[in-house]
Amino acid sequence: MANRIVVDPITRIEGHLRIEAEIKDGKIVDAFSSSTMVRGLENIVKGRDPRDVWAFVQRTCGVCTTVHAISSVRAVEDALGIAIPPNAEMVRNIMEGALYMHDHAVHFYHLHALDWVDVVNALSADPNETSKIAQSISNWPKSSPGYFSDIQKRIQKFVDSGQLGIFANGYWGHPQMKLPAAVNLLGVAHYLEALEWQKEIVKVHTILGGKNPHPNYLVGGMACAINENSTGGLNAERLAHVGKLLKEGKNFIEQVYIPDLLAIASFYKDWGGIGKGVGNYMSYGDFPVNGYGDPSNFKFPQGVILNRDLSKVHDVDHRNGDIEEFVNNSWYDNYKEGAETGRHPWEGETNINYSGPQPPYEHLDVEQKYSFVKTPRWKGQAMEVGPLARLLVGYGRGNKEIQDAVNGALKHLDVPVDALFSTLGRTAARGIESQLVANWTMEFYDQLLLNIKNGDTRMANMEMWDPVKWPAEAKGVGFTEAPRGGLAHWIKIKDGKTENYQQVVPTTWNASPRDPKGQRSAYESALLDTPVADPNLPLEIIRTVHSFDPCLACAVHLYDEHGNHISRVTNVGSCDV
Amino acid sequence: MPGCPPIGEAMAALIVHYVTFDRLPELDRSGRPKAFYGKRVHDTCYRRPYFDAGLFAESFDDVNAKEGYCLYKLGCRGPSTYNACAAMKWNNGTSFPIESGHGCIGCSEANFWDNGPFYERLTNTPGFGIESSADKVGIIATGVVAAGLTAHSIVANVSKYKELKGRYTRGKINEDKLEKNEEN
Repeated sequence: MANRIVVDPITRIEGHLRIEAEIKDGKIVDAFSSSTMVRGLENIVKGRDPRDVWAFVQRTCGVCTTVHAISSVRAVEDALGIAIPPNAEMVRNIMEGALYMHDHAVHFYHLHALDWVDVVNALSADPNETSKIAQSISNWPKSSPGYFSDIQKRIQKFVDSGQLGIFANGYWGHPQMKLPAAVNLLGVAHYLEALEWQKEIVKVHTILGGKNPHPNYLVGGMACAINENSTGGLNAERLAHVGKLLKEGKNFIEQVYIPDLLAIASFYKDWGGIGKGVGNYMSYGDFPVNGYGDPSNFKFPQGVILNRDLSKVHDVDHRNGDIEEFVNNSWYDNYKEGAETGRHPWEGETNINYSGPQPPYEHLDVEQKYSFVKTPRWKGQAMEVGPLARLLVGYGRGNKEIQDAVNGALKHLDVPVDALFSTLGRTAARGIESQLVANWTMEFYDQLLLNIKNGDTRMANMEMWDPVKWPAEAKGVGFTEAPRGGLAHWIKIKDGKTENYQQVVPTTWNASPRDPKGQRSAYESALLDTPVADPNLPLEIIRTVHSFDPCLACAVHLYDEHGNHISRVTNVGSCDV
Repeated sequence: MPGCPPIGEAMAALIVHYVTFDRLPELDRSGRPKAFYGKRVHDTCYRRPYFDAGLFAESFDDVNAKEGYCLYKLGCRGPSTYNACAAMKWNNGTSFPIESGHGCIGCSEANFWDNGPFYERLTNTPGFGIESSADKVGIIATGVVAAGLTAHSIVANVSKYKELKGRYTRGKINEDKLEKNEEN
C-alpha cells in the first residue's frame, strides 16, 4: 500500500514549492511538484519603459538579482541591436562570477550541508581529530585544535540554551547521517565561517553596482564609469578592492568549500546512485568573452544532451519554436489554441486563473491543474538545468577545462562517470563549477584591468538610448546561466513600451508539472526510487530536492494512504530563480 | 523601514537601538526612524556640490559621468528620497548606487515603482537646504506648488558655483550652459 507524502515548503527565503509523492516499500513511486506562489512580474512590466524593466524583474529573487537583471538588459539590447563595450561585458561577468561564488557556497553550507552534517553530533568530536583532518585536506589557516574547540563551545551554548537558533529543525541523529563526529565539527565550523565570508563577496556588487541585494544595471552597458584619475569613477582603489574580494572568494572556494565537499561526499558515495532525474540536460551557455551574440565564445558552452548520451550535443535556439511553455497543468487560462499546445515565450501569456483547492487543503487534485509553474519543453522534451547540466554539456562539447575538472573530482572520489547523474552528482557539480567560475572571474578581472591599461575606458554604449531611435516594433531574448540553471527573458517592444515579457527561469524547467504527454519534469523524475528509511524523518527527500538548489525552504508533511497527517517537519531551505 | 530592500545595517541598528535604549527610536510622521529616513539622499550625497554648481552627467559614461558629476539629469531620485544610503552607504560602508554611477531609484519612497520612468529626470525638485527633514518638507510641500528646477534655482546657486568653480577643470559643457543661464 502506497503512502501519500506531501512536501509542502514554507519558504524562509524565496518561493513556495510543494511536492506530493507516493511512497511504497520504503521508496518513492510517484511525485508531483507544485508551486503555490504566483510570480506575475510579466504582467507588472507590461507597458513600461523597456530600459526600466531590469529593475522590476531583478526583484524576482533576493539573491539571484544579477542574473535576472542581466537577462533583462540583454533582452532589450538584443531587441535593439546594441553591442555593449568590452569593459561592460567584463564587469557583468565579474558580478555574475561573484554571484556564483556567493550563491554556491551559501547553498552548500547554509541550505544543503545540514542535510549531510549532523550539528549536534559535532559536540562529541575530538577537536584534535578535526584539526588533523582539516590540515590534511587544506591549507586553510583556521585549523588548530583550539579553534575547533571554541566552535564546539559555541554550539554547546546553543544546545544548552534549548534554542538551536539557526541550527533548529535539522535531522540530528538520523540513521542516514554518516559523517564521523570530527567531520561534522569541521562542517559546522565552516558553516559559521561561510556565514561571515558571504557578506564580503557581495561587496563586489556594491562597488560595481552600488548595493547588494539588487545592484544597478543599465541597458547598453554598465553605469560604473571608469576614471583612473578621479574618485568619481572606477579607479585603482575601487578596482583593487574588487580584486581583493575576488581573490579571497577564490581562496575560500579552493581551501574550504572544495575540500569540505570532497571530504563529505566520500562518506555518501551511495548517493551517486540516487536521484537520477530526467536524463536530459540543457545549458544556454554563459560568460561571453567576445560578445553575447556568439555562444561559441562562452566559458560555459551551450547545448542539450538527451538520455545521458554525452557523445551527442544538440544546439539550442531561443528564437525558433524549439522552446515552448505549456499551461495544461498550470493555474493560467489555457491558450486559445487549446490546453494541449505550447507557445514560444515571445507569444507567451500570463493570464492567472487559480483553479486549485481553497486553502487550507490536504491534497492537490493532480488530475487537474496543480501549479503556478508553467511547463517548458525543448523540442517536446523535459530538461534538467543547473550546474550538472552545464558541466555535462561542457564535457560533451569537448571543453578541456571542464573535462579535466570533472575527471579530477571523479578520480578523487573514485566513482564512475555514471555517478554524476544523481543527487551526489548535482551537489558535486556545483562545487566543481564554483572553482571554474572563480578562476574565470579572475581572468575577467585581469582582462578589465588590461583594457583600461590599453586606454579603453568605455563602459556603456548609449547610441540607442533614446527611444526615438528605436524601431516601432522589436523583439529580443536575453539568456544567462543563473547559478541554478538556464534563465531566459523574452521581450517584445512596441512604440517604445514593453508589449510582452516572459521569464522562463531555471526552477520553471526543473520544478514544472507534467506536460500534455504526461512527461515528468526534473524534480518529479529525480524523486522516483528515492529511498525513505523513516517516513517521520524524510531526510532523503530533502537531500534530492535540495541537490537542485530549489527556490524554497521545505516543510515536510507526511500523510498515510488515507491522507491522514503523520508528521510535519520544517526544514532549512533555499532560494532562487 | 521602507526600502527595496532597506539598508541591512539600518535594519540591524533599529533592533540594536531597541535593545540598547529599551525604547523605539524617534519616528517621523510616516512611522520611519528619523535616524535613517530623516534626510533626503540628495542632502547627504557627496555629489551634492556638483548639483549646486550645475555640473551634471548628461548621459551615462559621458565625460561628466566619468568625473562623478551629479546624476540628476539621468533620473536620480535622490532629491525626493528619504534614506541613509549616502550617509551610511551599503554593505558595511562600501558604496551606494550614486557612488557607483547609477541614479537612486527612490526605492524607499511610496509608490516608487510607478513614479517613473526611472531615467526621466524629476521635474519638481524643490531647492530645500540640507537641514530639511522629511516632516518639514512634507509640511511645506503641502502649501506650495512644487517648483520646477528652473534657471531661478540655478541662479540662486551661483555663489556656490563661483566658490567651487576654481576646483574644477573639466565639465566645460555644463559651465558653458551655466554661463548662458540655460535650464539644466
